[in-house]
Amino acid sequence: MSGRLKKLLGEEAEVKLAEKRYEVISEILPRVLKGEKPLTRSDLIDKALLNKYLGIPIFLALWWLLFRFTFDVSAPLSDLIDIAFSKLSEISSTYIPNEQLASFVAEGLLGGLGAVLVFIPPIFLLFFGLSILEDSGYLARAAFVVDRAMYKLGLHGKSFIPMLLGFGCNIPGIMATRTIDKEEDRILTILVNPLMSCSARLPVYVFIGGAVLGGYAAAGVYSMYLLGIGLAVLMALLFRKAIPYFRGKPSVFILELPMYAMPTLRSILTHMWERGVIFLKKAGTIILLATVVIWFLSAYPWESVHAGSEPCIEASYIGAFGHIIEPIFRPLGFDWRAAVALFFGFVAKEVVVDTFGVLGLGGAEELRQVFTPVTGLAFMVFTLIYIPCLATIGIIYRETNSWKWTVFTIVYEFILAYLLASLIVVIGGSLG
Amino acid sequence: MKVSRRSSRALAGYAIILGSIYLIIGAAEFIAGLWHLLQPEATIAILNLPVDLFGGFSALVIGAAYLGGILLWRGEIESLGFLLVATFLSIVFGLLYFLIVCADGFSTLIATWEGEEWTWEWLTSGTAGPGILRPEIWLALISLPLGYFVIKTTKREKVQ
Repeated sequence: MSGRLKKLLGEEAEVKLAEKRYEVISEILPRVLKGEKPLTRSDLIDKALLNKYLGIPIFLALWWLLFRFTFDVSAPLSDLIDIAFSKLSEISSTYIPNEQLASFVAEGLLGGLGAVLVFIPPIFLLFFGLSILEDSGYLARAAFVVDRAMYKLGLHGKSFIPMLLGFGCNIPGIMATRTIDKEEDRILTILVNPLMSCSARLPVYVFIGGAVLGGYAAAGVYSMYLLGIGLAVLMALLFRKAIPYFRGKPSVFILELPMYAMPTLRSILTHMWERGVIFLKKAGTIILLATVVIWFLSAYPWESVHAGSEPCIEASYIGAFGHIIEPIFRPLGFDWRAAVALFFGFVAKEVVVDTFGVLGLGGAEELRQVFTPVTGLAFMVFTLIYIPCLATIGIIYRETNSWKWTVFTIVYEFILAYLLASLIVVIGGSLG
Repeated sequence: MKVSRRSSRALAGYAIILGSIYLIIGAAEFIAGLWHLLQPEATIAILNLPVDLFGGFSALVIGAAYLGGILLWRGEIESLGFLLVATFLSIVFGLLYFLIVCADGFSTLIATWEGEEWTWEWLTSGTAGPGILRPEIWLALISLPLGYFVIKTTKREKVQ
């Protein structure tokens, strides 16, 4: 039917309908309005922001601005939280007489949870910046300029809005694919959506990048987001070519651009809070629970771990488990602690940082003993791509209603993460 | 509202000068950043400018946006859009680098509370490269008059 219509009309039916609609509008307008067609400030700005050559570079520059704002401006605020948790940890170690309880509070709760909570400032600043871009009307333009490139690659432009939402959290991103009419396009967008770097991954990048990438930390974080977009586009293209189910041209994307507006501080702060509070809730529930489990596994059997003057986490349950899974990650230069962190990151990506905190690797100095700049970057890439978090897997199943696509997402992402991390280690190693 | 030929030429001229400066600075930062990425041991700083790959790229984009306003010279009022966007980018990037310098200062203050000695080093060297001497901060200030004029020109809802 769609093919016959296209043949009859000479182009996609949606495009023809939109064209006709605007034809009717332009016929009516001169009859009811007098004078020249006015050029608004929004029109003028669009001349530059939607420019064929400048549109995408401006989008990239604004994204870079957002990440430097997120990363560098929040640094002293994160330092303050870090100092507060360190002091609390010292106090609890000193004043709690019971050794096991003191270890739980100081190393488990304050060490683990504290390592995650220092990322409140960058996460809130990221949402602050995203809210400005959204409320001003720019994000719709971003979707438009990226669509132009995506459609040339055979992808559905409507996919970009769920992908942009994925920067906040993959769950609303995946749910937003419901706006895509064609089932094949919708499933394809769901499959690549977890590659968009959600805010839960930001703490991992800031944590590892800040410790091992030195002056390139902000660039490292920015690259992760660009890599996420690039991979999502490439994988979608690959799936469309390789999987018969997705073959065919994507349906046309028609987007009505809103007028630019000056965002109000109230709406920006409200949006920032609405999104940021999800992180706080997560910290008080899933991450807290994960902290307790990880601390227990890293502190017991108590006698073995605390046999010497310093606790030996390698002798704990988590140490034993880490050594079992370490061979899988060894080729990437990750030791058992990094392997364990990735394993628990499956619950929620912030738990990666939480695990490092509980394992006593909460500081930059300690992290530099585990990662070199190359393996640190490989770890960041691995975190970006590998298995989505538990909640995202649940939503992928619910939205695709298929175990086949859910398992496919988990498997292809793990393989892709492994391949890219290996590539970084090999290339980085050869460059010295 | 119409922009007189004289005003549009003045605007275009100002934009060409600013755009060229941004392009030179952006190219220098970008090349130095790329060089540093490939040869971390042999860092070069062209004209003492920051070594900043993406920062340089952003400056190049701002420069290109300013130069997009070149057609204003011929009186094409639609080119005002490029100047609007270029001045906006110029000002927000200047503000960003200024905020980063302030954040560096705050970090130094926190370190002082923790027992370290207070220094003024953050003002001229830190996360933003040469601190307050970062050219983009000063270029943002130079862009302000142009931004003011362009906003004033396009203030009325309808530009004809």
